[in-house]
Amino acid sequence: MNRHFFGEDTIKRERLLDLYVWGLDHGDADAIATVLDAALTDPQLNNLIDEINQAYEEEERLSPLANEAETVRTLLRQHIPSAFESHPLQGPLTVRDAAGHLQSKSRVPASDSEAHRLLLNSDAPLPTHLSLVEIKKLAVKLKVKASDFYWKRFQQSAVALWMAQSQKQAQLAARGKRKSKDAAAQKPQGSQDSDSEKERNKNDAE
Amino acid sequence: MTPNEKNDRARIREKARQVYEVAEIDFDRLSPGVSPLGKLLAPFGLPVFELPDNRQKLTFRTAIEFLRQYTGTNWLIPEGEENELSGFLFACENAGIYHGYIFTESSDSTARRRFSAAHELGHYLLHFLPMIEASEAFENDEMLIWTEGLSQASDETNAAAKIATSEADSPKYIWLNEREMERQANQFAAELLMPAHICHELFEKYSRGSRATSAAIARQMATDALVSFEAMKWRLTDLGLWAPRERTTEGV
Repeated sequence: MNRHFFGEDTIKRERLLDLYVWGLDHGDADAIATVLDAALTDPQLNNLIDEINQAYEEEERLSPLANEAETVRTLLRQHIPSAFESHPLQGPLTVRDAAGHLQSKSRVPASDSEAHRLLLNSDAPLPTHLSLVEIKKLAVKLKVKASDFYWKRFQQSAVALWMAQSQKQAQLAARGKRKSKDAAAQKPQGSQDSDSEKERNKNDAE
Repeated sequence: MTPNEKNDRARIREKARQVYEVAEIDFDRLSPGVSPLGKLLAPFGLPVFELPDNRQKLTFRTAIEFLRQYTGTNWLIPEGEENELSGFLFACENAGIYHGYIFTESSDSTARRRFSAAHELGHYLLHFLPMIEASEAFENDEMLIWTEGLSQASDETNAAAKIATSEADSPKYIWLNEREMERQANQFAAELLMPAHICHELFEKYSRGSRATSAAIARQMATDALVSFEAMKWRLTDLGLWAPRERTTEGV
């Protein structure tokens, strides 16, 4: 599975697009206007919205303010997969991930380049405990020899990936819990809570 | 010293000994010299970092800004955190797994950086991990984040420790009892880098038949152990070996 990293701008853009879809889903012109306002100063966001709208037009039976949001979500998935909760930073982290991160953050010493190449091609999962001791045990298992300096950098990268993945998982869990709470509260209160959900989406986007 | 203080010190000493055991180094048979800090840290998921831009001073803000860039994750930066630090710990727990980073200030001497790293390891073992074990107050699906900074201004106070949970997107930071934790982390670093039996052995060796002052002996021992003179002086005082007036008189 490919893994990607997203900058703050990308994440913000994704949240705005999510809000855009939410707005379409609920026929909420305010939500849509919020996103369109943001698109005025963000050409990339503007292009993405254009692509979505174009896709709508190509599908004649779709109306942007109708109930076909699921179809729109499918289109969004094709265009911006990371806009959805199936974030790519899921599943076990691999040796390849850590080597890729290392390469993106620091120069690989020439003397370690062969080891690095081997690691970039390894799907072996990283150990659960990312200590230098465990990483060196893994290196023995993989029959890869590199300098201590390289393994320290590798460990730093592995921990960075774990942190990013952990935070994402925790945020998703918190968001899921929030949604459950909202859903529970929505039952007796009716339509009032759609406003709070909208508010949350807006906050996420901001 | 109260019985509680005695117990506390014994607990910290035992924790340092355990670190040696985990690293498969025989604590009781240690030879006088530099403690193998790299080997002692190797069993932990705690890589040591220095900020790559050596024009930048280590602070809460610069460390977390660096982590944002390095991990590609938007960690929150507590406001008003501009104090210059010697050491910084950023530790996280998620679903029963914990890892973190120790930062040291690149412009500090090697001796100082070693002490800072050992001090942060002390916080990790004495405060972060026990907090995780006793974390019924926190819900299971939350990520716990612990940050701690060792201030440049003083080794014993002024350091701030915080924990945060990652519920929603805005963790709440909780301030903990800093002064007591700082004392314990310093004690741990001393036990790790200057084990008592080594200090006694060396002090005995250097003072036997010698008119050297405590200060001179401490300086020599600091060089042997690759720690700062101040740290060794503190350690000798702690062990009841430092007698500056008497030895100064003798030395003169």
